[in-house]
Amino acid sequence: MNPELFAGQTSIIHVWDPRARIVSMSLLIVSITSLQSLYLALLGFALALGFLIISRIPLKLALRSLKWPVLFLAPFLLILPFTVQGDSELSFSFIAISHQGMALGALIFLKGLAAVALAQVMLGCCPFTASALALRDLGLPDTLVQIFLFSYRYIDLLSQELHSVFRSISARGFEMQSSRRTARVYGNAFGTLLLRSFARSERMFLAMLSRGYYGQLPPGAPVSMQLADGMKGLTVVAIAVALKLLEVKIWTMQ
Amino acid sequence: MDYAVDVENLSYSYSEGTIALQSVSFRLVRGGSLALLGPNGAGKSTLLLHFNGLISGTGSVRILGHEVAKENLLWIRRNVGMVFQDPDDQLIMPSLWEDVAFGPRNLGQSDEEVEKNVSWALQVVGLAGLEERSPQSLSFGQKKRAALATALSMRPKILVLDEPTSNLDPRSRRDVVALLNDLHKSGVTIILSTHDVNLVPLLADEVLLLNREVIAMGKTREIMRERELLQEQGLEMPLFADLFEELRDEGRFDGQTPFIKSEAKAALDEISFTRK
Repeated sequence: MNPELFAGQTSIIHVWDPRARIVSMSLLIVSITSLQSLYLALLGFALALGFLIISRIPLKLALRSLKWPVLFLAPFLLILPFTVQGDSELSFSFIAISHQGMALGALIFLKGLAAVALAQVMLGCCPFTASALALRDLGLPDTLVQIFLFSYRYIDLLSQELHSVFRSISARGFEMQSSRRTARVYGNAFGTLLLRSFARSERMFLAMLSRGYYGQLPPGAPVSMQLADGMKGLTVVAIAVALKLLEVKIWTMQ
Repeated sequence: MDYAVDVENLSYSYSEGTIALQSVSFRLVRGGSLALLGPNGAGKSTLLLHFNGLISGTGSVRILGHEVAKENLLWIRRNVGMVFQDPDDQLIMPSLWEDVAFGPRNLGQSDEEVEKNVSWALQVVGLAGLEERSPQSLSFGQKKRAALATALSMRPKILVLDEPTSNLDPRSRRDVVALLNDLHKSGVTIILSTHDVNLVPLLADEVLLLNREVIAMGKTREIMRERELLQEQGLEMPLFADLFEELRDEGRFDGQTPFIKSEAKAALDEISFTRK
């Protein structure tokens, strides 16, 4: 997912102070991912979709960026019904599908997708730097914020270098096999990548020094949070708390 | 005399012992333009890094009268803009605007100044309108110009460029040459390293031939017609100069050596006229 993919749109979420957005949305993500009730997880997923719609992130693009999380989470949905012991829903000879397994698979799947969708809303509605600087304002150490910022920029560059290393070995007739030689070639290729990355990081550091860098990110313009930002944050926190209270109520009713 | 750069007896060795520079001394006047020419491994990039205080050897480097030393580094970096060979080394922030604003912000400029300098630098390099683009989405030519903008936004008096036209297509190369000439005309001192001998007459008034030590320094038009001297260093003469010097050797031309297309056309006219 490109966290800045949707920064160009405008919505009630886009004009929300990133600090308030990060704190309250993170609480909502924690609240949803800690739910144990399938029905509430479904509600959490619906809420996440609601936030996506409010954020005016083009649904087609948002769904496309959910592709990889779906691929990662789908095995839970497909495997757990067969592996979790419980009341048998269906059985064919030696294979049995358990009710508990289906529920657990669906729970993990829905919570995972809801978390990713909310993360898109949280990070995708402003430039990545604004989110990173908001994290610094929230108390994250400057060094960590710099690591986030520079990693974000250099992940793309590293993937290009990885691509060029593998293109270079393919151009000389190398084909991947399950052999010791393949392992050795891959080891060498990753070693080359490591050395290149080291050399690049040195050059990059010199380039930063040449522009007056002194070990800390220059401060951004101070921005004061508005009442509307706080109200939006409180609303989202209230939703997060309400979900947990609903869960407690369901437990006490059972 | 008012010197932009004054280097005296500069030597530098890498940690593993390789000598990169040996007793290098030269001076460049304020507002001048200098091309560093030399084979691979001649120490050109190493010399350039000294002008910004990024490395330090023995000897002395003075920038606009100030010694390059720890206590002057911020002043030096404010006045010497550095453009690295690979723009990806220089473009570090997630958006172009933030990258160009990185230097001015480090210098502690106010928001208004930062905004003004960033807009100006992007305008000068022809990238206005792309402020929100991420560096990875730019073409290589645009990245080169963006890297130049990151140095220009600090309004340096001296611009140091390592291979400014390497890997550029002809159009992007022309754009960079025109841009550097405009900056030079506005009073910025230009120092660049290059392998492109045809570029040198277009950009520099003076040439420093370097191969770990100073081999020769002088006016571009004098150094760049010294075939033997250039060949000894694994270099060659600019194309037009090479051709017309050969014609001179054959007794078919006796005018002033042309270095650029317009001069070569005039020289051809002269030859045709003599034949008639």
